[in-house]
Amino acid sequence: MSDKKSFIPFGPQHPVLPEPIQLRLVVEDEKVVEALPTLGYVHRGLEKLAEVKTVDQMVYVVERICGICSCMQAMTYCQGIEELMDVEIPERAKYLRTIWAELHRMHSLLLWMGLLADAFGYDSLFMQIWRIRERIMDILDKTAGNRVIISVNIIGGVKRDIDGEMEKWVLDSLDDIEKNFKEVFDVMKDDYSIKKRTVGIGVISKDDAYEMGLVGPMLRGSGYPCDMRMTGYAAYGDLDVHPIIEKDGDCYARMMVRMREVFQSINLIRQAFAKMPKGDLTVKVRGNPDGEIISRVEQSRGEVLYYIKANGGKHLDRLRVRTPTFSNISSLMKILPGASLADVPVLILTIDPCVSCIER
Amino acid sequence: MLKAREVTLDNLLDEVKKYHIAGYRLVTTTCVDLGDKFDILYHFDKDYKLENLRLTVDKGTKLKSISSIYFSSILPENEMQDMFGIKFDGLVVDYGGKLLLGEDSPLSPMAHIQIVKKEDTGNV
Amino acid sequence: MFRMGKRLFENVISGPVTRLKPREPFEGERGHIEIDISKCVFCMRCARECPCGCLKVNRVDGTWDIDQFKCIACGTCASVCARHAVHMCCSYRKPAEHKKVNMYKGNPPGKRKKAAGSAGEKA
Repeated sequence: MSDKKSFIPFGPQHPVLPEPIQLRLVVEDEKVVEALPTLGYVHRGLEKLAEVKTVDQMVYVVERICGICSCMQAMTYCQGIEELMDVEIPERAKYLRTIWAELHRMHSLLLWMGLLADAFGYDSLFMQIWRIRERIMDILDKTAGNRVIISVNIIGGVKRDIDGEMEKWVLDSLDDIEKNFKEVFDVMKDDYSIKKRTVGIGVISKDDAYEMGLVGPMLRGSGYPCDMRMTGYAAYGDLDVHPIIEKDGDCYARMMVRMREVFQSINLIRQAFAKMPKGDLTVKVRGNPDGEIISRVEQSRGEVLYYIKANGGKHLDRLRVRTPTFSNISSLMKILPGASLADVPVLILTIDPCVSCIER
Repeated sequence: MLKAREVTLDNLLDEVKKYHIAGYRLVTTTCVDLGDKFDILYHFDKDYKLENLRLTVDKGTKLKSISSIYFSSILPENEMQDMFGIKFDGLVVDYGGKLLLGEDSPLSPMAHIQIVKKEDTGNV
Repeated sequence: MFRMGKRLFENVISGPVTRLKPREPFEGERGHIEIDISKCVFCMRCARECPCGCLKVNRVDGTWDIDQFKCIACGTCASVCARHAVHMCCSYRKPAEHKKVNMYKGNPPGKRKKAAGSAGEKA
């Protein structure tokens, strides 16, 4: 055993770490040799609550698994139960679900970008990006009643509507947001210090990414085109959506994928408003679900999988949630060895960690 | 409904190797408690199509781990060790039952513990 | 280097983009739950459907209690109430030093029939 190796617990509390995760690093002369992530700080046991709460009440529990992707978790759960009970929701409800899901994708990606700028020490860029994000939270507040956990999805449709004056105001705000974000995009794409800290760091090749089971922008940043929105759930079958890929597989490529997805989301919301038909918002659902089903949706961090098993009673038999960060975290054991200690925060942030999703 | 192929303990590793060679990626593994048995499902995906394998075992059997074929299965298998008390043979990275639970947490919280009812003698 | 210069100057001049609470709530905001107790018939549907268990309804005594600090303001009780007695208000819940339960007392159906039969009203 060489004398130069030391053990550093990159602990759950650290000024640059955004989430309560502990990494046990073995470091030799500023280069990381081994890494092991340790979890368990925010485990709440939400899967066990499915045996106590009824099928309708579980929508509110599932929303609170993660605060940032909460609307999409509820959407996946409602889609699974509706398919199990053979219920077809109205077209207008599908388009409204799509619009709220894309708004959540945008605010999640902007939050991540601000944290990445903060990890380099670029605090003023962090503030400017979050200033843009405040406009999106205003849109969510005025259309759905709350900024973060909006509770609009129920089994059978949606609870609220966006029409007339509100629709015009949302589209005007989106034009402003696009103009502001274009300036930030130009700065982040060409800046010398950002390029020095992200190009060539944490390279994952296309075959390695597929082999390790990565999902979301991590897979698309290495050149593999996989995006669950192509399967056409909700209203995505009528909209023009395609996966955004980059070839290099380093931190810079993943950052470009996420920034381009913000522009794609703005376009999808405009298309959805243009094509949205008039109609009802909900459908009456009677009876209880029975059987097993799997439902998959593309969240802002990747692909989420829900396994629901029901037996005809008021409570579910089993609810299993596999969130995208659960798959991405095992890649930390492969990309951290060989990196220098100063690059560890950038590498942790490039997988977009969300620890309350992993531990539920 | 769900279409799943049945496998047994003996041919589990061969079936998983076949999927690996054909280019499927492992999405996740699920465990369901059926009373006196466990139902373990493996989900594989290629080109947006899902294929599932189902393995039914009695409580207390030791299972073979697939982490030598698919590295990404270490987290779901460690979680099953914590939550249901299933033991695995050949795990590449083993947290020993401490991935999600702490030192003074209840043992295997998701597995149903059988409650034996006392006989009703007629008195309140 | 000065690509964002104009945007930075505008942001400095125009002040903070966030709003301090307590502020004027928007229309349709999810604030807190209130009830008009004279319309309530004590069918107990709201207490059954509530996801977090913050409502306690007693049919015999005629009391309706809500724990405002457990309520998540989802609006389920307001949408299932048959007489539209429960409704959502826009204004936010005020912060307080101790958790307290809001209690309302009304007329349950059994006592109402007896009161209609005899002369006066029972409290």
